[in-house]
Amino acid sequence: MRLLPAIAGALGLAFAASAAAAPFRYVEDRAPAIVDPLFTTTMGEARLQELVFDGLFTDDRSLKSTPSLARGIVVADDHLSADLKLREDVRWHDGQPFTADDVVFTIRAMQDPGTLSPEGARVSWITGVEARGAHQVHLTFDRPQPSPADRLHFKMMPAHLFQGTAVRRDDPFHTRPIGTGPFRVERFETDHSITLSAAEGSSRSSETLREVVMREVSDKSYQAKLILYESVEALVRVLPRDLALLQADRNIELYPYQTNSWWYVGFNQRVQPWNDPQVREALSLLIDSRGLLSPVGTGEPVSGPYVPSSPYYNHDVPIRTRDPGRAASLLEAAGYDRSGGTWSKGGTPLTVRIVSPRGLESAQEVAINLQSMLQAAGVEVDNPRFVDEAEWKRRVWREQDFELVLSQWSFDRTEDIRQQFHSTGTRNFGGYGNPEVDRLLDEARDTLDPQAKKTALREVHRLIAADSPMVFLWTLDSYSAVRSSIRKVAIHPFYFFTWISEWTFGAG
Amino acid sequence: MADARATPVRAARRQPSLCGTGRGSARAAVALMVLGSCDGEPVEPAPPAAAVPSGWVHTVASEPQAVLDVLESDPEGWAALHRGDLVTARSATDPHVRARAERELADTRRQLLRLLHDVGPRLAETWAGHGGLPAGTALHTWAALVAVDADQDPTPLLALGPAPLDPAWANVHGALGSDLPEEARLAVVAERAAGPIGDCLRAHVAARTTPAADLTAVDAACPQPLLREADGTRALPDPLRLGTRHALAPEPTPPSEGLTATLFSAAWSPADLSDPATGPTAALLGLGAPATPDAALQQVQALTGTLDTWRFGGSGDGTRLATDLDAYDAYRARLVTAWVQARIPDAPTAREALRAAHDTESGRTMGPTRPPTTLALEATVAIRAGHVRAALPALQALAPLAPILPELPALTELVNDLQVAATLGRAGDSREP
Repeated sequence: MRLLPAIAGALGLAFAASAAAAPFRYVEDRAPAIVDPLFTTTMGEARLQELVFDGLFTDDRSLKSTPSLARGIVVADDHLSADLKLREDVRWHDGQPFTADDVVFTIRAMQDPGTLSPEGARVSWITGVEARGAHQVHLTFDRPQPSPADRLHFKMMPAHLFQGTAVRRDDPFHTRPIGTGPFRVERFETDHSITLSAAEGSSRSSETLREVVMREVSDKSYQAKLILYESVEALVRVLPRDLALLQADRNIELYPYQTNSWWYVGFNQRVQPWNDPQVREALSLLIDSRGLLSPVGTGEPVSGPYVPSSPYYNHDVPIRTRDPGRAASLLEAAGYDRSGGTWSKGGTPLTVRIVSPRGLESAQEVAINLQSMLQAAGVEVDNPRFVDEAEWKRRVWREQDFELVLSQWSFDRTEDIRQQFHSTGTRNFGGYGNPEVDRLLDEARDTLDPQAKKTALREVHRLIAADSPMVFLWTLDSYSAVRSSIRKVAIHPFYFFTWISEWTFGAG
Repeated sequence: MADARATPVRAARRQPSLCGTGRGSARAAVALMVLGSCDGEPVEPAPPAAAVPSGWVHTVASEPQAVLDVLESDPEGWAALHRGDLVTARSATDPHVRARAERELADTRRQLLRLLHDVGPRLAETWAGHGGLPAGTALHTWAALVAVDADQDPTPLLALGPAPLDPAWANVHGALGSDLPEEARLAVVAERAAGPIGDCLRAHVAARTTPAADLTAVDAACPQPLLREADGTRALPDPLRLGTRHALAPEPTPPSEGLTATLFSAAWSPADLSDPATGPTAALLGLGAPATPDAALQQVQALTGTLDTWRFGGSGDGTRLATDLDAYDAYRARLVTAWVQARIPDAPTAREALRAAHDTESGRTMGPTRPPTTLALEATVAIRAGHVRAALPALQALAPLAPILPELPALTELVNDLQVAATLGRAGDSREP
């Protein structure tokens, strides 16, 4: 331990100054590309938004909806409409008052086809929104909503900063965001870090956390050193191999941050040969997911689009294991032969082209191992491509210009996979469609019977696993690390910073 | 799923220094340990460190041979007890291991019973609050039975809906709604209820009060599931069965003296056996009654700090054995579990105490630092704190005990139902990394 300062010095790390005067610094693998609730798609963006913006309602510590920008809601007896009363003491970070116009604007902007918001589905159930005075809003719904407050957690946007409800992704707002949350964005640094300062007057502000710095550190192996040497106060996600090291440090606390996440290799089912379910299943049978998992960390293989502890996980669906014989039969049935050592059809070799987001930890390791595994089985594999967030969103989300993706989905506690697998889903960039899955997803969305929903979604799991729109890989154990100088830490199971107002700097 | 670290020979796999091969069964490895070190040199106990109280963890570190002598009686049985595999430990050849396993099973079942008593009423309340109970259902009557089993007032649950349409359940509904005493409510309801559900209730009461009874009469009288509605698409299990099984289990008589009584337990020494949470070692470690999550965290941090100073008191083979057995962390996990059960009624505070003592290396499975009672407690406090989803991994980790906890799968389904009910109508969110 005596060597620590020397090592830290060699690494160019600075020991923290007095805790009381220091900012709270946390680490993300990659900085959010955008700070605009209309266009967020990543966990890092969602976490930053939790600091900058508020919703009408939020989760209290027992995960019940509680008013945030709203003061209350009165739901009509038929549950087809509701009146919202808004708080009158809220101001945007630029000093303008928060009013009913902001609520109307936010909902209409999310719904506007010109906005192209991936968040549009979150307000698709609202058929009408109308300001009734400065601090009252009337909402109408497409079907009875027994507890609409549970669906009004999306973040509010300031109407006065936009010309219309068709908002562009590159609107200047995305780098100059104005919210009502506990912190305001001060500046974007050249090293991709973002500095935020406490917003006066926010009901969610912390008395002792006056400045927050989000640091981008793409080298995960470096992150543990940063928290050990007090150069940051928190890591959002600890690399599994660093858990023992950090757990042994008595100045660091580890918090479970299980976001119901699973890894997958997804097929673009709009293009050949991945539009053929036999070829997709064959490829999945050439992959040893346990073998790919072992170098990545501790976790558990999954057989479908849920994690095994989910209420919706269908335990009757077996984990698909490597079976080259069965894969060969499927490929032959699809018209392929392996006479030259490589599977080909009509002289065209079966070739896999994988693209993956650069920020996905261990993705390079997984992709390279996957490449070796498939090549050994007679499948040609182009070198995997790791793309930045802007290219990912353009190629994969907007243009669907890909064949296979290696990525991960994280879900909040509703574990709602509708947007990924319904034929109309906003996150269904692979083009998956199965009318029976659509029907069951609709039923699961509409039913008020928990057991009926559970049964429907377990059947969805079975159907999707059989259709192989993805190779479902695994879920990983996930922990966050926070230095014990930060007291009263409570982490929201998905948005992380929801209860940051309770956190305090204390004696470490 | 097998967990290499979950046996007393963890380091025989992870640290070849102990036995050289790095492989082998628990029996073989413990036998090797018992015979001495792998190079043939005898194991020499390290001198006890000053200021560390006598107790099983300290004995592991300072007199490893004494521990190995105990383990030698039944290496597989002790290994199973150590990793929480109560299915195997209950069949151990060493009667001490069997009795210890029975005690832990009883503690786990009692904790799961508390969980059931929370989940049943919450399920009906949450279901009613998210769209209302189905017309004519007996779901709230079923939940009221759970409340009565916990000797709680069923009236608020009965008020969630009208009497069920099913005459058998309507009859029970009426019995539950009659003026009930403060105690022994279940017996009174069983007396007053007629029909097939009444028969089931009487079978439970009779089984619980008849010496040497078993579940045969309950099996005959109680349909499974107890409640079936909507052509069988809605079903709920017999909520009294876990309590009756618990009542019927013979009172375990684990050893009360010597290392066999305390090894791998929450009692550092025999003086702690009667109540580890308030015993002399817990007091020495500074465990009190924290009023807030932060106070609980501070107490766990202080406890851990003290154990760290004790941890470094051993040397040589004893230290290695303590590491192999995860002795300090296993003791901490069990002590904190007992402490939370006994002294922390507030759910968020209890949850923070368990979180602070959680061994992140334990993965998703049961093991020395995540024994069955700890898992059952984790699930209970998560639900009480409103974090129902967080209870499910702990219940999943308990699943290997289903052969000796037959009500566990149905209980897990109830928690699944509660989680689904709590998120009905909620807008979901999903993100990329």
